Amino acid sequence: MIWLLPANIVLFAALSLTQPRFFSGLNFQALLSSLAITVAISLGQMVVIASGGMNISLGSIGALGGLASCYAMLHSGLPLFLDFGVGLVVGALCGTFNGFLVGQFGLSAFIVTLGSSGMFTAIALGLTEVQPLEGLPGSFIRIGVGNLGGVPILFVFVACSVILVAGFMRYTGFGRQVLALGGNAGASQLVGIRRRRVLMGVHLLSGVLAAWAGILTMAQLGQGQPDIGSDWLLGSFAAPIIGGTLFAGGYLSVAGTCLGAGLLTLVSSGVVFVRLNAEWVLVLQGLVVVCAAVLERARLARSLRAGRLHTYLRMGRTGRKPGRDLVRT
Amino acid sequence: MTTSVGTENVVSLAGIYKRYPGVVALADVSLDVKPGEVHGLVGENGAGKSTLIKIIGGVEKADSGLYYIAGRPSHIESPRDARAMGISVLHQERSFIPTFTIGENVLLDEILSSRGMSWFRRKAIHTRAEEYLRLLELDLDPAGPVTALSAAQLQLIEIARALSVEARLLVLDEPTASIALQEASSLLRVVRGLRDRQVAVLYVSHKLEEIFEICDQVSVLRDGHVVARSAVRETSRADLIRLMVGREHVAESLPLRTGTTEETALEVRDLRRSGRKESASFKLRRGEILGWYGLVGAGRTELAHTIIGADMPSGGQIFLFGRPVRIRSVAQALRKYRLGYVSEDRQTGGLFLMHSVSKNVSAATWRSVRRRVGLIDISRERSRAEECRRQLAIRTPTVAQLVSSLSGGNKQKVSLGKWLVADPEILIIDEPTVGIDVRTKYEVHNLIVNLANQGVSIIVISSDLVEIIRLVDRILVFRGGAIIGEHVNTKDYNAMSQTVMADILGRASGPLEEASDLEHRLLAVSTEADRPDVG
Repeated sequence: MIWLLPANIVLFAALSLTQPRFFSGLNFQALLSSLAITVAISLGQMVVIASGGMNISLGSIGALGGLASCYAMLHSGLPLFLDFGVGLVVGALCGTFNGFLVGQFGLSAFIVTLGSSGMFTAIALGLTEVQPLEGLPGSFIRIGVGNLGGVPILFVFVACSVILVAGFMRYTGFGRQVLALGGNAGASQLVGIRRRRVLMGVHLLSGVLAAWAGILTMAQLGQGQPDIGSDWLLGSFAAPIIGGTLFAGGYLSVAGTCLGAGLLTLVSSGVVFVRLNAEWVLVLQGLVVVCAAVLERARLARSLRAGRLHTYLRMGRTGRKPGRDLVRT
Repeated sequence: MTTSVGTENVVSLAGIYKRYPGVVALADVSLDVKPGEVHGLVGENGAGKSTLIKIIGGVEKADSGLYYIAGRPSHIESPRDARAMGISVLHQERSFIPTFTIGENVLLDEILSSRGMSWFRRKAIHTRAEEYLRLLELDLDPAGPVTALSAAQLQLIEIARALSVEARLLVLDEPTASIALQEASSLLRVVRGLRDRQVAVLYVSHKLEEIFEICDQVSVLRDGHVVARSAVRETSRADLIRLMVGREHVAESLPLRTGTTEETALEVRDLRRSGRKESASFKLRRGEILGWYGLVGAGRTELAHTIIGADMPSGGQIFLFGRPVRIRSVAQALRKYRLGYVSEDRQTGGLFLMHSVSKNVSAATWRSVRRRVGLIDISRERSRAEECRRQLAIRTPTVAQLVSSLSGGNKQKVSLGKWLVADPEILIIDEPTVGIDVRTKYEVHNLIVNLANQGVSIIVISSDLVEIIRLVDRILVFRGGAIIGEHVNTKDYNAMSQTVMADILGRASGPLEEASDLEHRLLAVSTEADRPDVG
């Protein structure tokens, strides 16, 4: 996504120049926090997309995981990081449920996660009786609103998880297996990939990341809102897709996802600054996604017509070394 | 480790049965492969070779029968188990990951079978992959993208992958289906090297000359039964063909065709592909069969793509029946100019595997089976498919059968049939018989001749010299993207093959004494072993 960085810069510059209050330390902190949440949400979707699937229940897992953490904070008396752990485990369980159905029965990820999304949402709303959980510990809320030397703590947390996910997908056997399955499921099976296990794993990972995003969102809000995940879906798909992750699977770009999230964040922030109605956020974000899809489609078509998927993926030039031709004819 | 005696079988199958709905794929099959033995497995398409290999490789499970590895009963449930037991399989289906680098694809087995938390560095993978690439004399950058490679190179990548598993049994299913002589020779050398290291190799090929060149033993499968096994020394090409088809082999040669008109159906002048210097000019007469011969990568498919509008030319002209035309798309080529192209990649590119035979047959021409309101006339579609099935002798219970369930040769016939019902005036057929058995091959040849006799002008692209000389009226020889020779085909194999190979090797004609060692080999393989019925 070669145009993504310039697009971010142009939009940032335009807002800075036209809106005097945009270019301020306080606003930058707000932007970074908001960016952090969007990135955190997108990561959970990105990894499943890379495996050739999707996770519609991302938002409801986020809500459920976040709420579980808040419950633990209020009632367990455990140290904070263990309360986080409770939420992550709940996310892992939800993800495993999805992964089990997808892997074991070969169901489509769309159907499974659409169904489980309803179930998880109902559980979240039922347990809280649609009331936000209040009275969360101050140390938790500080994570959501505090900053370290001007950088929001949220941003630092998410930056760490970005690095972890990127390393995990790039360097571990599991990451490679996810990408292989997404890239060519049939070939992976001939080579003996453990499809069930990989699908289970990637949905589990997605659940954990969703819960993590949910916990951070609740820290930012300062309360356990049971409906936080209801508006995650568009952004969670938009950022990876704008960022170059192949919707068909097999290729992901963590950096691209972050830049895509950046664009979405700037758009929504811009809407606030130029005092448009809040609905415009969705209109414009939707427009960005559609435009990105059209642009990329054209580029993909061009690459495929030339028989060169790799130019689309920017994987470098031909595999031939200079000098000898492979087939001397 | 049990101490294994030199003669103990690496793999031993006994009484293997495998049924699919409606077919018995394997019946009472037994097979023994010893260490240091190259064991050939031949048979027509649909004889059960691929099923047998899938069972050996753990992709499929036999319904009954015994499977011993190194003398001990084994219960292989998956390709992973097979690999853990030292069995490495190159499947006929292309299986690479398009979003991975060349090196990652070479070491795919290792990556996919690794534990989830094992750590990978691309650089380390690439360094190790390069060794296997070098083994096959492949000068490729392992960090390069795999989608930049030709079909032949991809096949070599997969061979490198099979080699990357240090196996005691290496199974190669049609390893040379889409690669040229020179590349095949480096594969054959590697196989010999493995044999010397006491690795057992099960070698499946339709190219009998390869069987004779490297195999020690050969087993013949026919209709799911092993009909013969013997030492290669004690058998002949004619024997093998007879055993494979189950009857005495029909006449090898086709008569010279007469009565080709002088009318020019297609003329190409100085046609240039974008980004290339070479240009091509040739004429195709009405009712003529023109052969395009060259090694893989000589630019024939690319030229065909440029002609039919799949790629845009950067210069030159195309004339159809004397009129200059500008073809913008494949759809336009077919609808407006009745110019069809049967692609090389029929298994995946030419067919809708999830659809029935009849839907596939009408895929290119659904307009013609459409009623006035725009709905498809199902019964007309079916009757045309039936006709096509009869004409091409497609072996399927009904035309409602899904194409995915057909054997390779029959898939190819369906793909050809799709274009035949489109009733083209000019047909370009790319590698019409790659990877299909002798009987089907001859059926396809007869079909092409019949079409030409009906006045269809046909270009046959083939890397199989035997096929070219058997089938076509005139031969164009391609090298490095250019047409370097044109010969009227006398169908005299010895003379024609010498002439054509001389072109390929860059000589006008004449003595071969100057040829280098490699070229000698190249010639030897193509002119002697390849000659029909030497035995």
